[in-house]
Amino acid sequence: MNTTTKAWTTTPLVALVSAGLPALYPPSVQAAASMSPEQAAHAAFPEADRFDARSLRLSSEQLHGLDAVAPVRQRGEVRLFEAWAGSRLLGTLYIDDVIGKVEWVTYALALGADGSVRSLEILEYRETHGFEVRTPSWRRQFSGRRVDTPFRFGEDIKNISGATLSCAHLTAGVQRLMALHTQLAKTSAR
Amino acid sequence: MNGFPARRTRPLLGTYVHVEVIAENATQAERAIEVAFLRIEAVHQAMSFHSPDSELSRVNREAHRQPVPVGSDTLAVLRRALYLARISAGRFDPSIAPHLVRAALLPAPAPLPEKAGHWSCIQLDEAARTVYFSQPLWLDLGGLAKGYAVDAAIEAMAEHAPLRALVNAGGDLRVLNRTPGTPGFPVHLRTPAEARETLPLGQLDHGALATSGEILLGRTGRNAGLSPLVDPASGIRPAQARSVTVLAPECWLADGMTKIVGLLGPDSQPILDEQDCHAAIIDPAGHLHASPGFWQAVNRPHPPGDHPDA
Repeated sequence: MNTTTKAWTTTPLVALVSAGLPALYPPSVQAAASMSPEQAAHAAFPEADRFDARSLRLSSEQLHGLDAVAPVRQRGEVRLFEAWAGSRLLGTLYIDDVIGKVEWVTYALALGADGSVRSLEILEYRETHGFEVRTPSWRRQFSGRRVDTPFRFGEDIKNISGATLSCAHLTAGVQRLMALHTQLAKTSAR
Repeated sequence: MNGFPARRTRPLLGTYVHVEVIAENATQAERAIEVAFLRIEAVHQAMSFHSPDSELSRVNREAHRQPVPVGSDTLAVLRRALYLARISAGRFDPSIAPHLVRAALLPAPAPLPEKAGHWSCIQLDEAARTVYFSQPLWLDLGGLAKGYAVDAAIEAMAEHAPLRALVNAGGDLRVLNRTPGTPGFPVHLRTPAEARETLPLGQLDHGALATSGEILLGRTGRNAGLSPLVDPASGIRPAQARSVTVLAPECWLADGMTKIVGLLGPDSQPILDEQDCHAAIIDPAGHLHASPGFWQAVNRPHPPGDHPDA
């Protein structure tokens, strides 16, 4: 195998897993800082002198209503920061999660007082990865092989190449939050 | 290693774009990230197939009637697209959008052109900075524009002197390393069989990596198994390869070459050699076929499972 320099080599995918990789990757990678919700709030509303933070539990009726806007798996709880300059409401920053097929995204959407989008920042992005989720068919490939040592890379390092993941789930989440914002504005105006 | 790490993720180019840098201080890191996203946003706006206001959409509507002026990014991507078409004798063809629209892999921007041209109908006037189609056609610069955006971001960041940086636009990624001797970025491959699973591929200390495959997420129904690989001769078809990964000096080339290798298989070796690229093909049986030099390029001098002392 691999005797000529011009030959293609063939490797079972299983061998990629069982090769001694941990030695290749020292576990000393520093965690890179992501934005916190507070940082996102300050970045979106630099002129604010005060933020009122609260969380909002959505009723199943509300969630159902939002499904009509854009269906996506969303947690029933949304955190929000109202940004104030003195007695003037500048806008609201929403912290929400959307769950796609493979990815799990926590994002901050800042809406101005007029309901327009000021900024959209992703605070946390996780792809189900490595060997965290193993389907039976995947496990079957490894029967009889030593795969008992999971790879522990820096939790933040996920430089994955593969067919492109769409960000449609996030777009749907943003549409839902904008609809929710309109609802809330109506309620508080009453 | 020392250095200040920072990273951001934003939804751009239809996917999630991660930018990660290690710089000498926090200010430098933040500035490098902002500069990277500014470049990516510019490319996104110019070359979106989905947005009717993009430069690309205007080209698709008008370029068969008269030469349409384009900005430097669109011109650069078109130049690269034609280059890839030439070196692959048309296997790479940026005018396959009608095939993708018919297979419902892309939304139709307008009624399909009756008599669609192909890549050789695209005429670039470098001096006038215009593009003209001698036949009506639709360009989709999707993957190539994504790779180009990654290159543009890395090059813009290089001017802001981060120690190391990585840009990953939905699997099209490129690495910048100003500190030789430090380990590269670990890179993983999403497996074709099960999208939730990723395999450790190796580590990348310079250059770019891109993958095309049939696991296109969020796609269900009759098109679930279709690949974005289109044979210009026979149209869209289920892929022979489950996924194709290419290592190249630049990301636009890595992305473009995935299509060529996907259609030619190991017969693409002369083109790979000529372009200083390496490739890996995952077949339906779960084997990875690597071109000579592939494993060395991801810093795994011995192919996994081929231990010299075993």
